[in-house]
Amino acid sequence: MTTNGSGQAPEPRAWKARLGSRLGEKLSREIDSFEGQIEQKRAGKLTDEVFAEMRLRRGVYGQRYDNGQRHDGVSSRELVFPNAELTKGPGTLWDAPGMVRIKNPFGALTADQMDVLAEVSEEYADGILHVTTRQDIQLHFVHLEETPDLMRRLGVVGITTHEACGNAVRNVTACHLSGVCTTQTFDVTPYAAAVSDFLLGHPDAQEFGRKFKPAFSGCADRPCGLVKMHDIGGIARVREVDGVERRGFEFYVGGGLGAVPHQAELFDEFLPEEELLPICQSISRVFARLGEKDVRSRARLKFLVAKLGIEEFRRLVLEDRAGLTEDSRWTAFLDDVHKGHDGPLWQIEKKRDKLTPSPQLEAWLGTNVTQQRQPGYKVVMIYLPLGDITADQMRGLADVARRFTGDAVRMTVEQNLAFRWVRESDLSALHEALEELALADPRAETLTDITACPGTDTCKLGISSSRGLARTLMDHLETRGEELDEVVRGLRIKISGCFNSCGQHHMADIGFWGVSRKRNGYNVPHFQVVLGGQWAENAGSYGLAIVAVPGRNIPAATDRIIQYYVDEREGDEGFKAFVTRVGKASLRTLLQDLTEVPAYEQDRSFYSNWGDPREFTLGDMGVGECAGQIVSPVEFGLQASEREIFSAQDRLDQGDFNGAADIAYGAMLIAARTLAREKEIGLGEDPEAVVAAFKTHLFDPGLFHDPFAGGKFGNYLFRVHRERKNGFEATPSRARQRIEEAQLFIEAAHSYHVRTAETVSV
Amino acid sequence: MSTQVAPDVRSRVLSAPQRVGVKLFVEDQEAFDRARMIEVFHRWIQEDRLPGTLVDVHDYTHVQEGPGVLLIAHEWHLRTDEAGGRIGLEYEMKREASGTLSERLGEAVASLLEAAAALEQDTAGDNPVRFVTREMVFRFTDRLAVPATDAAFEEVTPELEKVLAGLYGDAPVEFERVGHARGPLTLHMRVVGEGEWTLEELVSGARSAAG
Repeated sequence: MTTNGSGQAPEPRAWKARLGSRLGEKLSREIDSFEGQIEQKRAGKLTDEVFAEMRLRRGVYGQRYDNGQRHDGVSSRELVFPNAELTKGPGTLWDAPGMVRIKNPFGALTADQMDVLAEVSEEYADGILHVTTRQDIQLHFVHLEETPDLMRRLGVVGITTHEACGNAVRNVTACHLSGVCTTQTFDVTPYAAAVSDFLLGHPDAQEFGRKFKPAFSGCADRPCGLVKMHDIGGIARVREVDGVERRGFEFYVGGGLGAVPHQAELFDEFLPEEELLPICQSISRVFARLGEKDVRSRARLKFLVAKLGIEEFRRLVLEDRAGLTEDSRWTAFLDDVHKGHDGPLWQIEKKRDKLTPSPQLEAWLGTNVTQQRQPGYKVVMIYLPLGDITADQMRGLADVARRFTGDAVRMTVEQNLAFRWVRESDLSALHEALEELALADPRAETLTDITACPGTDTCKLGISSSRGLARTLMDHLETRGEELDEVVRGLRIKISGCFNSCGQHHMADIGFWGVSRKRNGYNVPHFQVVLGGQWAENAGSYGLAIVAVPGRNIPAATDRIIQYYVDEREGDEGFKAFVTRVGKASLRTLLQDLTEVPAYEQDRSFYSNWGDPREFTLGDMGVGECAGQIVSPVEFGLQASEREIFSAQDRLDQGDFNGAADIAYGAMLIAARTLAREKEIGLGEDPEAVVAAFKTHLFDPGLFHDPFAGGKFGNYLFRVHRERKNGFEATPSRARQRIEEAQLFIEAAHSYHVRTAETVSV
Repeated sequence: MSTQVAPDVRSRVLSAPQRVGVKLFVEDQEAFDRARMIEVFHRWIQEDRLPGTLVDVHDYTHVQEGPGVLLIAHEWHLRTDEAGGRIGLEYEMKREASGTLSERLGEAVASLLEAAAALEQDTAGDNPVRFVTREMVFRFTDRLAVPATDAAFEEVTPELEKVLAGLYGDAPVEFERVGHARGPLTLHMRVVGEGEWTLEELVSGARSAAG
């Protein structure tokens, strides 16, 4: 510490000292403890596994290339960091830049928080704040040793990263319109806050095998809450009991996206508000006690609910609930809830500004401004391209928030910001202020407001570049602008870089998820096209995969899909209904020629991701000047298995659930046999022999294992094979699940082929 | 590595920052090709074109007035910065810095100029990128070391003048504090004296001054 000339003590040179008591004692202790763990790890006193879970629970995540290897388009190179021998997790280098996830319950932000978020993003990250599809904020390219100070500075304005990652209760999300929504039953905000506070660090929520995501919605119809894709979720309900109106929730459990999406099951038609926290506690206890711990891929709550059945799961939870010791926190928050007021935060000014008409303002009013339940006020959406906003913009937006909305800002699951309680009289001035920040783009919640996960930009699991594709599609559709038919402007496009669904592609009208295919002897980035998901009704249903299209052809595929809808829709037919009516076979035919990949020498762009000039190949693959390529038997076999999957989907659409499940099983067998025959020439078609050969030659030696998911996909085959032998009665959801699993097994077969195949040239 | 910086005993308000950004503006704003920068930066990683541990390229061209295209290194970030609606190349020292305040400033300036010279050289053919050599922007994102105050502004400008004298000789420069009041201390520097300098001359001067 230095002193200045006047003898007055200057500001301390460390954030911990400078912030002093402004940081709460409990949080301060927790961050000190984490800092101590970092030092312990540095000193070799903690194992990689233990420390990795510790930092994950503090929101400190890994990032692509953190194993110190990166393919630069020519060869795989080692990233040489100063602390080359030090690791912060299994295979994760100490100095490799990482991601920090910041948890904001129900996406709420105050202006003061926005200021500090801007500061930490430019100091510790790359100057960008990324809003996620779960109302979190992510910072990228952060160094581990800078995270304690980052946490301290956030803590001063009431933000925590605690349990933002890891096997813990993740951010509690809720509709961004809660409290101001025209269709809400009641404001779910205080309930989401109560669940978030109650479960954060709760002893009964510390022993999960996987993450646990809650969500709340104020109504059943609108999409904002997405309750049915969450581990637990409540939709606001009121019921008259003994002449008194009571609040409660239509309560769901066991939903989730991921590789195999599950629709949540109804746990209780009406869970009274006073039972919300104890039931959440008991669900946590049952999940911690009975949930899978060893096999990560089966460890989400959805698998436990599916395994036990909703009736047995409910019985176990209620049995646990009956034995819980009373906790005053269960109902303490309700006093405040019922004392709560329904606004307004601002007084309406008598004199209203006359809107100065301009095409920009008109367009913005049409797309980014919606009615609020309270007369005289509006909700204004701030469109953030791919969820990104700069530190400068965030700081400027904090000023705008102070001027126009108080602290009523929410992040949305579509990666935008919502300003609530904006006076109608302020709309013109607000638009002008947003224009100055380059944040007045009129495309919120439209076709070109595309959602994408980080994908290959920063995620370790990304296969294809979801953000690269999103950028391309946004530009492509934007240039078409006026020529796009009105009926397609409200459609949603969502993109994931892999099967894990962080981009929520299952619920989009038009969804894409990244896969790779071996074509002409090279790896070619592709996207599976998923059509007809339902964003409304809290993610009411999921779309199904149509066909994998090379990434380079996705803009053309999108054009065709939307044009087909414009040309062939009947009356006011919605997109999901249209997809159901025309059927997947016709959609596949529509896109079939776009699945072709030109020869490498003819068009090299097909062999790279959008926005990334590096060749999408393994570095050691041959790039010979051969005259042509022959398609290997493996490629034929895997394509045959994909065709079977398509047939299975058709059967499912026709209501033949057992037939669909059987064909999906057959598709898995074709893929397994195709690969196993490379090791055991002469292998026949007997399912028992195929499964045994697959196990012996591919699964047991670990060859088929996914680099990240391990044996997950191979196990799908074994389980389905067992079920088949033991007798399998397909329900709609089970048949659907089997198709999804078969699809993933075939994707894994493609991945295996990509990892191992050699170019066969002639 | 600690984020706590060693105190600079000559300074009353400031200490030597770990993080400081320096930006040069692109001459022809309209002709600047963002997509091309992605290719250039990927190639720089392949060729180890700049010193440091080069990690990755990140594309933020979809963000208006954003960081453009980023070349991420362990020690620094290089971005085709579009802040304020004016495209430039910003070098931001991020970590592993050493030396006094002026030594670090000198190192950051020299590193930026070398990167800019590399970019001019690599785009010399079609649609060459050229930089304005009489202006720079300094951004101090390490608020602990360089707070965004008037006192810090008064203290940092003589340090910058020392560094810039190695580039522009006796030509006077002026500083204007720019940016948001709650943002990091940001200074827009203009050479107000007579004279023209090529980027190569500035690189040479910066390196000589930095030793």
